[in-house]
Amino acid sequence: MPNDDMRVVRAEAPGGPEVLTLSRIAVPEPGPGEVLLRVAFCSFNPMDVFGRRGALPWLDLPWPFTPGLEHSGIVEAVGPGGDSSLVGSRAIARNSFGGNADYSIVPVDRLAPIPDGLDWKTATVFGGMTFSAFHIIRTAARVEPGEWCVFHSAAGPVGIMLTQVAKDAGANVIGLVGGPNKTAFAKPFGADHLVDYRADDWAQEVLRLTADRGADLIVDGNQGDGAAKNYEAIAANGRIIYIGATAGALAADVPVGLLIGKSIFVGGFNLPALDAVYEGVRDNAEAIEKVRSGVWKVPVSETVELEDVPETHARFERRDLMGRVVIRVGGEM
Amino acid sequence: MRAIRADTPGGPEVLQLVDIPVPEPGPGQVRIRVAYAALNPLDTHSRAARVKWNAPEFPYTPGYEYAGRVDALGEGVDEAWMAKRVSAVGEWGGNAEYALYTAARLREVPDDINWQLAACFATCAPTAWHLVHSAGRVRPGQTVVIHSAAGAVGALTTQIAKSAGSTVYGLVSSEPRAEYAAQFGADALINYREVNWADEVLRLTEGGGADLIVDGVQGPDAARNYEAVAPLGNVIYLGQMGGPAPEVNITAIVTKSFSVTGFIQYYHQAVTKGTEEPELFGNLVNGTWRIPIEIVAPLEDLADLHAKFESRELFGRTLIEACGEI
Repeated sequence: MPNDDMRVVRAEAPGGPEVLTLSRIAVPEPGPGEVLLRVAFCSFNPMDVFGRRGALPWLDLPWPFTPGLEHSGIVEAVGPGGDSSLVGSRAIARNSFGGNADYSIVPVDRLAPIPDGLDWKTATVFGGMTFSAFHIIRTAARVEPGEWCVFHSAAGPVGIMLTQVAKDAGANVIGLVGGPNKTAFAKPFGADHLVDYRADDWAQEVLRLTADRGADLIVDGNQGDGAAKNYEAIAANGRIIYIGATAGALAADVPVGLLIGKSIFVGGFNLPALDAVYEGVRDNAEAIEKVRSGVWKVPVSETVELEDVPETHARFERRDLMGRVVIRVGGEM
Repeated sequence: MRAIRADTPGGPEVLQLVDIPVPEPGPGQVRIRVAYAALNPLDTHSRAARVKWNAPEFPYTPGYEYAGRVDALGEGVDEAWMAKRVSAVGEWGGNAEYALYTAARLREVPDDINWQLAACFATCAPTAWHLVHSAGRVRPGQTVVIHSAAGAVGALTTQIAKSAGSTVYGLVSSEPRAEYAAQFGADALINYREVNWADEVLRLTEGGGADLIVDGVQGPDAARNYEAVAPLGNVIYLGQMGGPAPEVNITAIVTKSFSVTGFIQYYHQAVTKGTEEPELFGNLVNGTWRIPIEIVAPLEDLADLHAKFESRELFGRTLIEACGEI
């Protein structure tokens, strides 16, 4: 209970995976508008890595920094003036760092009930990847049946959800993956073609597969130098959507003349930016039902312990992860 | 015949009215007796050597967009084209009494479209339609911001976006242009020389921003588009009257979740294959959507009109009469 101390993964200052240490601190107390969550599971999210590196200056994160953007648990206490009926409820913390600890402080507006029928692990990880993929395909790109979609990092969680949402929309999907292990991992999720970008010139392969037309949609969460090939592989009138930067480098600025020359659309996508403006971004009933019923499979690849967090960050940076890794904190409750 | 000719690239003064022989069509070409040509922005850009794609070789006769009647056929051209009313876009030469054009690119003009409308219906109206419906995918209730709202594309885009059920804010550079643009139905017109237009759009949308911004101007001020656009919104560029825009920073578009689109009408027309034409031409003929033809001037005024266009003094569309009502 909150009089005890608790385990927490913390970084005192920005740096590599080695700055993360597992320590014990007193259980914090929720302030007004906050709850204390007893954490069951936490998702490993690339945003955890960017936060650790100090690469999210616009979020003005407090230091020491505790990763854990998406996590789940049971509400243990509410802050002064809070709604005490929340205590004891199963909830997910959406877009709220701090989940790599036995207890976390979560603003009430970032807390949501766990949808009925979802197990703990699925409930913990499904939100970010599912609603990102859903809104990229349906809201931002408005994919139509028969269109050709290319997804970078097709063995990653967002890539896998994008593949399933796009197939559901009637599109043809080409997934880009790095190496045979990732090809094998991605295969069951339904991409029409998987291209190993380490072995092939993927842009040429996309042109070949589309009879030289190019892709109608490319979703790129890697950026870096490889982004230049997006402009070769895109069809006239095509859409390129960037979602983050796991390659560690940002894509080069794009001259407007290049966009006009091929009549293309370059978009950015960031789920928290939508949360800030639109209602119900993460409450879409259709998407939740597709996950619950298993039509869209949530790719939980492995479960690790809090002690493993630094190594998980290092593996991510070596591009050694597939699907979504879940960190067990309190476990099943 | 009388024709305009520019011997070298330069300012409006390089445009000379000359008397030259009527040209003979080569294989695959037709000769068109020109009724009217529209003053297309590409006429001024090509004259000043500001275009790279499809740039003319000098000496040349401007006239990118015109209408007339086929009066001679080159070798291998279907005889059915003879004497047909046609519109021509994309090959220069329309600022003369006769012009040569590739037969395979000819478009017949429907009987209910008069000569003046025929000279300009093939570009700004489809451009506006594809901006709103193909690239912009405007839905009812969305907010659309249109740069150069007193120009021809701006006027048509305003009308088509209003028909699509959106709220339209037009940007103009002066009070007279605001008064002129008001007739096309924008919900508000903003003089960007008087106020920070991005702030004004944010105020009008209660902080939400614009779902679609159509910008044919670009220039260094284009960065304002990224302040005024809503998350999930789209900025479409279709030209650069004001010089190139700054390059698009990927981190900025990811952080706010918006998109930037380059627009070339040709690619969108290749997708729809003309399925929009019955609606588009029907609304132009019945007056639901109106192309504002404000000036009809003879060939000798062309240099003066180029100068006025480049100093942003022209409203709506300008036609140059070659043979007129033929």
